[in-house]
Amino acid sequence: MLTMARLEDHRLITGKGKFTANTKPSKALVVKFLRTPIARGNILSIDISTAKTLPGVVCIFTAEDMASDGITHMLDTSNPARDDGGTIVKPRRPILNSYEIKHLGEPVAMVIAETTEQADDAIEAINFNYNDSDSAFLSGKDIDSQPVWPEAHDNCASYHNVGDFSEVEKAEKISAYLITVPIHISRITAVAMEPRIALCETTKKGKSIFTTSTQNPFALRAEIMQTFSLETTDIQVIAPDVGGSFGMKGTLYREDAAIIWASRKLKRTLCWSASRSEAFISDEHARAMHGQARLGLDSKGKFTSFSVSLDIDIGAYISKRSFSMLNNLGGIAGQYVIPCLAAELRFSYSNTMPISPYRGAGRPEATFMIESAIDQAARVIGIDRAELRARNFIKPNMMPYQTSLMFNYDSGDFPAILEEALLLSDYHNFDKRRIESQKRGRIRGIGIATHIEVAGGPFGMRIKELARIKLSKQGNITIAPGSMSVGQGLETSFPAIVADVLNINADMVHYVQGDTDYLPSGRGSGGSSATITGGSAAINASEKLIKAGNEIAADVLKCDISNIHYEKGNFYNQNNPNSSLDWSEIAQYSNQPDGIDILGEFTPSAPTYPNGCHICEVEIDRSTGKCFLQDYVAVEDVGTALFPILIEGQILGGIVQGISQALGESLIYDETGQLSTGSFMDYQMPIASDFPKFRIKTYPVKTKINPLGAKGVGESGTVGALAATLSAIQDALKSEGSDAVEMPATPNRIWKKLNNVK
Amino acid sequence: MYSFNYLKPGSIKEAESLLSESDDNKVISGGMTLLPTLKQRLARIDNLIGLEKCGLDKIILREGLLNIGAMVTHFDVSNSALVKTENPAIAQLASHIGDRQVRNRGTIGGSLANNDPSACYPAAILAMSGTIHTTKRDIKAENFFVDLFETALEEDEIITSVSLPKPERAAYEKFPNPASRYAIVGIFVAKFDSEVRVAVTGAGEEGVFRCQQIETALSAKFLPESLSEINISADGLMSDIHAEADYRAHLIVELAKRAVAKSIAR
Repeated sequence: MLTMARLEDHRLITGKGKFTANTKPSKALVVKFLRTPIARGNILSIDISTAKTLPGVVCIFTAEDMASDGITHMLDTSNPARDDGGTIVKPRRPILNSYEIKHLGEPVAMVIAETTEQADDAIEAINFNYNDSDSAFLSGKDIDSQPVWPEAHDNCASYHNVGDFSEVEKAEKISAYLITVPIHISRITAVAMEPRIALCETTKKGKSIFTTSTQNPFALRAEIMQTFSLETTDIQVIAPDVGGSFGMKGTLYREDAAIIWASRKLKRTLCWSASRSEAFISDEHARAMHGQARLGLDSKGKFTSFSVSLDIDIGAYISKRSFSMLNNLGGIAGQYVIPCLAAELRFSYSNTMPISPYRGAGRPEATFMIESAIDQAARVIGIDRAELRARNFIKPNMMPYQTSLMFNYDSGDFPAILEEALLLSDYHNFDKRRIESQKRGRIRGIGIATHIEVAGGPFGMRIKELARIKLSKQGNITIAPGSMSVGQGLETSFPAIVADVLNINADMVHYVQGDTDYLPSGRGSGGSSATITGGSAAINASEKLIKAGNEIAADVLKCDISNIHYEKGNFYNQNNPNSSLDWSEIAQYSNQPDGIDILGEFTPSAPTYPNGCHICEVEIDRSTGKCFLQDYVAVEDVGTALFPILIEGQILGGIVQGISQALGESLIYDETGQLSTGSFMDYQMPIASDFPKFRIKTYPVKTKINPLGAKGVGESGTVGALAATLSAIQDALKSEGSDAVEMPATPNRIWKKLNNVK
Repeated sequence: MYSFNYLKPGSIKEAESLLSESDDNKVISGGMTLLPTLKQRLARIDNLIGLEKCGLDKIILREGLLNIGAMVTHFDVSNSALVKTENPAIAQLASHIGDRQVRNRGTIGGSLANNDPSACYPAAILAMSGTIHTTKRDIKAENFFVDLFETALEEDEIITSVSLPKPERAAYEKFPNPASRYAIVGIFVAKFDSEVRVAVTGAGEEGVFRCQQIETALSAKFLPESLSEINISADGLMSDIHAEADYRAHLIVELAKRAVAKSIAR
């Protein structure tokens, strides 16, 4: 459709972006939080008497102050279950903590001051007394000793059995091979380029305008309304430019709630912006699970069953965001015919920051589980890894295909995509390259992952998306979708989608986003859904706009509406081709004072299933254990490939996040619950020179779920990359007879495996 | 950050006198460690004394020794024609410190005074038997590096320059920490007419140190193969989330081999 550059890039990369901090008025007061410096213990006292007398300090609030207004806790959005019959315990997350400390960095007091320095001085002057517990409870510890919440004595927040384990067991008994692989997926965090920020202004009449770096202003408004019992007229949420979100910026945080409450109380404008150190301890974390996966195969290498058993470390508090692995669990079916599938999921507490969705949100994990089991099966049976996959694929003529666990794939050509990836990566000549690497003292490995993910869901839910289109009296056309760009490039793609329907130039369409006053609701950014649902709603709005134009044209041109013909921005009377109206004339003739204002909508009948195949090639320096990426091929079926440059950007960024987790990103808490990786000195972020040139190709198989035929692209890069990268590293290690290395595959860990150091 | 005054004395004498006025006055020379420390309120300083007007930014040849002013940035060391001719190994070392921004702010004097156990320069200065010139005296490298972030410098003493003899062969090899890009292990190998000196940074629990085992083996024959039978003890080596002590011990030998090979190829 289009190969143009992104319209927003010049603004964003020349420092002309308008982020929340750029919108901060000079009258805004500075907010800082006193946080718990320990992970577990009891708060004894919070003495603010000295601090509040310091120069420039406007106010200091604690939980006590908020409680006097009846505001104490974050909204409880969690829906835990106990399929094992255990007791459901739903601990509440206080906005400001005044009682039991459950993780490092919990907000305890909020200082409001005129300057940053004055706020810092006041934070230091607060006399904060607490009892320090002996040690924190972390994932993998013996729970008999000290569960996080005493009332949840087994330390389990939620327990789920999905699928049919008895069928799996039956299948396993008659399987020729039963492959078991350990699963360990490290805890990581989004590390958005723009840390979280919250700016709240409250007018004298009591309307709060909350400007923030979020991926979904509409969901945020709903949470705020429920938390504070407000009406839509009381609260407007604005998201200007957002520097990355990845799932992490998809909810109301404790700091946000405290600031909104304080702004409404004081009728002042308040702003808090997280430092990078604060981001590490107060942004929600992600992934964090371990367990095992079991794959059964018959003597011909056909899969007979697959099951996983997982313990997911959800941190100290729960919300609906804790359980994304459950929503996207269906991904363990992969691209394969597997007669029975089952999963056991245990969500466990720990004295750590709670987890939430992060790019893929269970999908990269699910793909990693099935794909690493298949790799191991291929090695045990002695079949080529690509061949074993091909032997078990769901074939195109089997579509639509209902898997044995959740998902119903509508379309896809998995065998063709694998072939394409094998060809592009020159897979069949890998051994030559391996020998050449050996000559240089390097161990070469190649990894394959075929992945499938679910987009535009969540699975099992049909959520409507809206898009508002406006034709002003001056004839300007503006599209305002409920979708939200946090860097993806919707400012480029949405006007193009509208212009395509209206058959006009894209530069005639303006784009606005991120303001709850524009729309009653919106899906924001998430679930790889912007183009497929938001784009489809924009199409619907554009079609409605043409229809409205037809009616006005028929009226003005005094003919039957059936004689109106619309083409390239002009409405013609077919019987009198010399009389026509363009959009500005249509606007003039409309009887609405502000022009035409139309709400388009789209509700997907089902989710879509983007899929693909990644092939990664690495070299390992035998004597240092350092891993060098040599080549990376991704063939992706994102449905109709609408905007190649945006698709490539999404896939590339996604791959990098997957590789980065495979190789190094990891949040590590020490035994007292302090974060050992609380800065970029220890939390490993990749840099451009760490990566090879990626070769990304699309292989479109259109979906009928939406009018664009698009399947979504936001997450698939990460979904494939985590598995493909580790597959390549394990392949290199196995070629030396070494055991598999646990994620993240750091040089030290790889060296230990190669040298059999325990 | 606590507020402080920023002073720019016009001479090193003036700087020295300002520094001696109070324990809460500190010298800044690039500030690549000091500034993050200040930003996090981990230090409180009354007067920050900038040395940019003290004339410490020259690179000269003095009595056959390469003399690098304390305020010379890593970028200038890496880019200096004189350094590249006289001591290419240190030019190469400087070109891999931090990132471009750090190399354009950070200085050799600042790095040495800070004595970060993972910094690159201490290995070079110790291996090349350099001399640190200060406002008070000349200190041999052997006596300068005391412990982690600790040097022989007195409270009111300022580094003015560093002198380095010209080795026959020398090279630096670093295995960077994948997160911070500091050295997990950095090895500087220097061969002189009379001796071979090898210094290790990034690995020692007490900071930079010389590795006698490797020096002895290389003194016998200055070839990578001379090190094939060497095993370094992990005792006294750092262990952290990025690298365990036995891994560091292994890297010391491996990187020493590579440094020797590199110095021979140069």
